Amino acid sequence: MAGTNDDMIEDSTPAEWVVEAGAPAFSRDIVEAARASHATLAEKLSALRSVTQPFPDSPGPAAARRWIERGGSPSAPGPPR
Amino acid sequence: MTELTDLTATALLEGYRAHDIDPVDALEACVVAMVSDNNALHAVVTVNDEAARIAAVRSSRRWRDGSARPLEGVPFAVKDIIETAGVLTAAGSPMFADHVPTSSATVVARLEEAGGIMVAKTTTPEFAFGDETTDGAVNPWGRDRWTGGSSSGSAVALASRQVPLAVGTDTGGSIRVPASYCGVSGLKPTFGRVPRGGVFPVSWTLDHVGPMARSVSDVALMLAVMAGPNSRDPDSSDRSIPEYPGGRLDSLRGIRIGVPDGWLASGCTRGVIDARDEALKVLEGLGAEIKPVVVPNAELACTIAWVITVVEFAAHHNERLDRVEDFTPMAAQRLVAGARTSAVDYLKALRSRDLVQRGFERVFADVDVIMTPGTPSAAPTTADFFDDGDRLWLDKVARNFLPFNVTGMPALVVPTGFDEGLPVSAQVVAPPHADALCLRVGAALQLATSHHESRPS
Repeated sequence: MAGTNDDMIEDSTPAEWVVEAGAPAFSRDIVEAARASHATLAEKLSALRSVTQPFPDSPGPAAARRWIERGGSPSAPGPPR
Repeated sequence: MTELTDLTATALLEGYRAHDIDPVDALEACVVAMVSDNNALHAVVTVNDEAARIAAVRSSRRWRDGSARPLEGVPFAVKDIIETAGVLTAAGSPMFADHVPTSSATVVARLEEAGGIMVAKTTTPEFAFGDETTDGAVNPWGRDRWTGGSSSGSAVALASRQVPLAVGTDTGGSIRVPASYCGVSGLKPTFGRVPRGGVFPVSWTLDHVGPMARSVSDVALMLAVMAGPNSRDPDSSDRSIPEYPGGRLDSLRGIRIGVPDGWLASGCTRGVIDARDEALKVLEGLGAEIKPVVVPNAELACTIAWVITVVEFAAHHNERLDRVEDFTPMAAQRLVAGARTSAVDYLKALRSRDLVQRGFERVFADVDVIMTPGTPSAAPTTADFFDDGDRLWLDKVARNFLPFNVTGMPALVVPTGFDEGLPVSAQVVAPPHADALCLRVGAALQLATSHHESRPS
């Protein structure tokens, strides 16, 4: 079917392009235009996926935020007020 | 003879204080510069001249009656993704072409409450995440050269002497790239230092609002007003606000400056490296100790930043995903890329921030600040860009800047000289909430050099 996600599935090989049920349909033009952006992203993701080091703190932005508020230290007491 | 538009905010305030200059004249000089230059440079999308003239008259009165505030009568410009009450805020998007907010962003309100005069809204690509090469702004150092993005209009307005101060935003280098390419100074503050209420989001995890100016001293003046918690931004920090810049500027004795090798120094032109090395010599002459350092995992930051940014951009615009054709082409591409990135990769990117933060933590055990090259080259031609997706942005433009959006650390770009007639820069980075130290090192460098005073012909 022209102009739907079916085209995107057919024309796009990276796994990240798998279209889930109910996702919005994008026109062929947009999909074609997005391909370069996504190809870059997909290539870069390989570096992220290959990280084998253990993550040093609890997951997610809360840990990153706490680190910032502690002035760049994981163990310092709370920030001066 | 020095024109009024050549003066920094610091110089204007000295002139007002001495009653040598009147805010009405300074404001009018800015408006004339905008109107006469803008056809060529497209730095400004909306001139707020009527309200600004009224504010200038009030500022003039305050200087006369002794009730002047910290930025009394200093004109400033605001990137057009930042809301301004009663003034068109289109965010570079056709979808918001008629959007006139009823209230101002926290930073705009604070600058105005401090006496600053909001005189213009500056050019930006759509939602600060569209095509940075086609937003219309022109680099005054070379008409065929890119301005950088996405605070392109703010940097151009400063470099071309249309305003002394400007507000920018930085999700992946968007203050520092145009500052570097246009030869001005810009700070991405510590995450949370400046509240983001009233600013169109790109990525709530990585967005920063920050000051831009032609001198670090002016950047410091702005930050002192812009910083501090606000309930409109739950991520804003309630840490106390120190003096900016903190400490002596004529001596950097006791300050250890780390110079990274590896990712943060590779891919640069010889001109960029030479200018950075000259700056380091100046800082060493002021008493700073220069030490080589290695930053683990810095290269991961580009991927982490891009994954987080495109996904959060798509999440923010989720309700518009079914009419993506309404976006400008590059914003639409990035929106679709974000919508198609897996939750697993997004969460891995969020978790990986810790790795990058810990890498810098080890470095800052031995040094007080680090100095990296700014953009790896001077401004390229616009024709060189975006012919292969976002690769050039990630690999050749913002590579030295993205790690500090990921880690939240303050990062200041300062001009360090010229490469074939175009400005180049270095970046001073400090641990979180050590913004004052960044500013001190940058201001000390500018006290001893004059690159930041150069102006395009």
